[in-house]
Amino acid sequence: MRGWAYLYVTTQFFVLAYFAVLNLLYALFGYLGLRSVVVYARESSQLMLKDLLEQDLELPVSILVAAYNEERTIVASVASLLSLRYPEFEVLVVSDGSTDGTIDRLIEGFALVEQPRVYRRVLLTQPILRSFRSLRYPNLIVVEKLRGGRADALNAALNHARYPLVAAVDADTVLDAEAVLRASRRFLEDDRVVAVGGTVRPINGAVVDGGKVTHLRIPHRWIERFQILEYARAFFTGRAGWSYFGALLIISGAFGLFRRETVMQVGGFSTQTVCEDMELVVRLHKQLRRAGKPYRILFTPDPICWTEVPSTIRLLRRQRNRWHRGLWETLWTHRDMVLNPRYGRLGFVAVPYFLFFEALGPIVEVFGYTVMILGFFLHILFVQFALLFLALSVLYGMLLSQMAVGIETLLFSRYPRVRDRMTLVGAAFLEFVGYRQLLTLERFIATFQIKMKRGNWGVMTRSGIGPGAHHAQETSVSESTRRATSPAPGAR
Amino acid sequence: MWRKYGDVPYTLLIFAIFSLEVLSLAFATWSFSRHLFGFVPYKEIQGVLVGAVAVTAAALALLSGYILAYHALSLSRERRSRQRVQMWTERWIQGLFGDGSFPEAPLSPEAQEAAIALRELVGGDQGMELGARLEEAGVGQSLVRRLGSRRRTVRLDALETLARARLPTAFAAVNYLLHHPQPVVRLMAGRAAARTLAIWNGSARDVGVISFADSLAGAELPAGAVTEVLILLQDAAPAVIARMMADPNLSAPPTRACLDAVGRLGLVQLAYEAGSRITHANAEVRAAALRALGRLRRVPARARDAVVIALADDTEFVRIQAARAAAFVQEENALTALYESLGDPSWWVRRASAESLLGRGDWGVGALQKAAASHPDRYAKDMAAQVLLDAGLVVAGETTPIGEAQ
Repeated sequence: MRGWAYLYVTTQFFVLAYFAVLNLLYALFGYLGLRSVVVYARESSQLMLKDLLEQDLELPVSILVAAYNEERTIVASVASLLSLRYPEFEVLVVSDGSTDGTIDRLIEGFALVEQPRVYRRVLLTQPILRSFRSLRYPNLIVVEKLRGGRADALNAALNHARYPLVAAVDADTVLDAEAVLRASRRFLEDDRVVAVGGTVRPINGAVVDGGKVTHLRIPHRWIERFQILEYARAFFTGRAGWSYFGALLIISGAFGLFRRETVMQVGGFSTQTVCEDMELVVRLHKQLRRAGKPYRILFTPDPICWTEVPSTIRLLRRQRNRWHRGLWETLWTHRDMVLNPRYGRLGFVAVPYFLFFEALGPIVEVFGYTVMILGFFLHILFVQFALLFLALSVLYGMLLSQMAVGIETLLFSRYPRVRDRMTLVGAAFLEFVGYRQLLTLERFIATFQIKMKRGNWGVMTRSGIGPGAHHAQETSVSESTRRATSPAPGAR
Repeated sequence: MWRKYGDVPYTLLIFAIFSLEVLSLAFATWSFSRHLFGFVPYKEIQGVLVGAVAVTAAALALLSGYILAYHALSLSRERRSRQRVQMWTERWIQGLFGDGSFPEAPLSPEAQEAAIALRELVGGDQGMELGARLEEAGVGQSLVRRLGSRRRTVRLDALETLARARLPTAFAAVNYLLHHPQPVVRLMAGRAAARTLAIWNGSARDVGVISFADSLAGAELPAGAVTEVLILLQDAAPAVIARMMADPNLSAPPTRACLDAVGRLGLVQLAYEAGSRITHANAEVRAAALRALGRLRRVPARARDAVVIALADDTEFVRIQAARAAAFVQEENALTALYESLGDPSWWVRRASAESLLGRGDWGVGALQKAAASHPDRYAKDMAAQVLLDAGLVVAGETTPIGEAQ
């Protein structure tokens, strides 16, 4: 029995050490992220944006929208994109084999007429069926193609894009009016920039009018409130920290701005993964490093886009399952980068971190819980130690959440009501009572489903964008093209 | 978008909290590893863990309290500040358009903000009057003093305010910062100086133009940033650009920026300067020169052959710009070259050539129709048909363009 006890204590030590290293990294990147956000906020100039807008100085942008069965949201979403404050842009909507009224809604909403179109087929995609132009908006182009998935639709849009910058957005995304302007400024100021990611925030509970978020309100469901915290952690600390470190591996599929030619040179979006946003960024790093080209991939905290997050446990689990599988798929595809000196800090820090702490994290966590339960039944568990350790990890997680929430308060577009702020503080506590464990379990399960569910997006449900949309009856949409906004890796 | 106060205390608080957390976690791990090898009894480990939990709980309470307090204070502070700015704006408006009684120095930050915001909105004599009042109140001097601050954020803030206030007395100090080691300061200084120079009149401006052009040429800013600065110069831009382009040693990024500005601002008087860069060794400069001529819609006689030759350049983006500029070369060889470029390997060159032909009137349309019907290159044929279709010259359905490989 003494041998078992010693083994047990050793296991506890391993879990504690893993926890300590992980949290030290969180603290480090959280602090770096905070620092970079504060510096960015201090240096940002509203006057500069005004000048850029008035002088038509920005690089023109093609906004790419992949849509699959989006009849409920597509008109509001495209209208929101067309109302952006930007000197020169086009909106390219690709209906990816939609079987509902997506195309009909677009034809009605924007006076579309069918018009054949010669395009540059650099990236191979499923066949294009029809192309449309709007009689009302000369900068709107709609393409209908056979079903090939979100990445395939985005590749088709890339083939049709005319402008040097492309912004890939989700069909249910609402962009801040100046979001593209803020992101594209980085390309103008530095020729080396090849991609810029912005912040994604949950739209649930917010009042949306005319394609714009007019009032921020905390949603009614706790599951949605917890996700507000997760997104704040992921973007304001995690991504900002990795960007500061020069090793940003994820740009959210909900909103990212890229140099079109660079994306096409590396082969566009991969159709072999359910996490094509992360995979593209990793591939950009890899190929540009191999080519020895100077480049920068940046996160900027204030081009903000709003997205609807899952409002039920079932949908949330499905989403997180997909994200975790996508993470594994990407890491496996680029496994040659791990500890490879050719990739510098990416090979020695970023990719190993994602492998050992983000991908393997759920396994270690579930292992820890299992050992604890096992110890209890074998009467070798130090109950006080276990409880103290649990309390420490919960409190530490809350501390990270509060830090991210604190950054959010520096923004003008924050939750204004004191009641909402108190709710967010409370959510940081309640998040650890079941919610985190549930997601860990789902990610644990996802680890063993990678092969079985390869390329499977699952079913998504949404309630739509617009006034009163979040009180609307939800409609099931099978295999939605809606993309994960993937805050998961580094979300804590 | 961002509140620019309260962030430094917050960062320091976070730094202190996480330093403490790092120490407590490291100590807990160290103690546990010693326990593993029998150096420390279990009781001691428990004590260390209790300490770590207590420290974390206290840090959490402190942080939550700070956030809630910041939220409440910032709301009331902003409300008060808005009210004061509004009050001062009314006083300034009354001074400008009413009884002529202006607020007296020293100006409160809200009074200053109200005047500077008005300065952005009000032009002409009233704008100059506001500027003079700000100078009188010592705003210019105070901002120039802040330019010498050790803190970058203070300097940037002062530069942003000077960019809005456009005070000529601060020009020399701002211009000097174009040599600052930090690029972000150089960019902000360039913008502030350009905005000031834009509203300047008289002979003093000529001196400013020379010193500014020389500083900007050596500022080592990216081409996009230099273009932005040049465009902000407005009426002063031609003199600054001419001075910069007269320098035979001007490096490629500012040369590109000057050419971009020539095109964007429609500075026809600098068309010759642009044309002489078509044969530049740097492809980016060649493309910028051709783009400028395309935007000016005018190709100087001496540059016409160079434009036609550039249609066969090795670099794709140069050929694209050459095709656009060739629309404004009247000679027949340009039209022939554009027709041939319809068969270029690059989709973008084909598109630009077809659009240029379309812009050449009946002859160009005729050439496109001929190409759509009988060009030996399938891709040229498709592109000609597409451009005619987009221009509404062929009814949809009569041609069936197809997707094509690059």
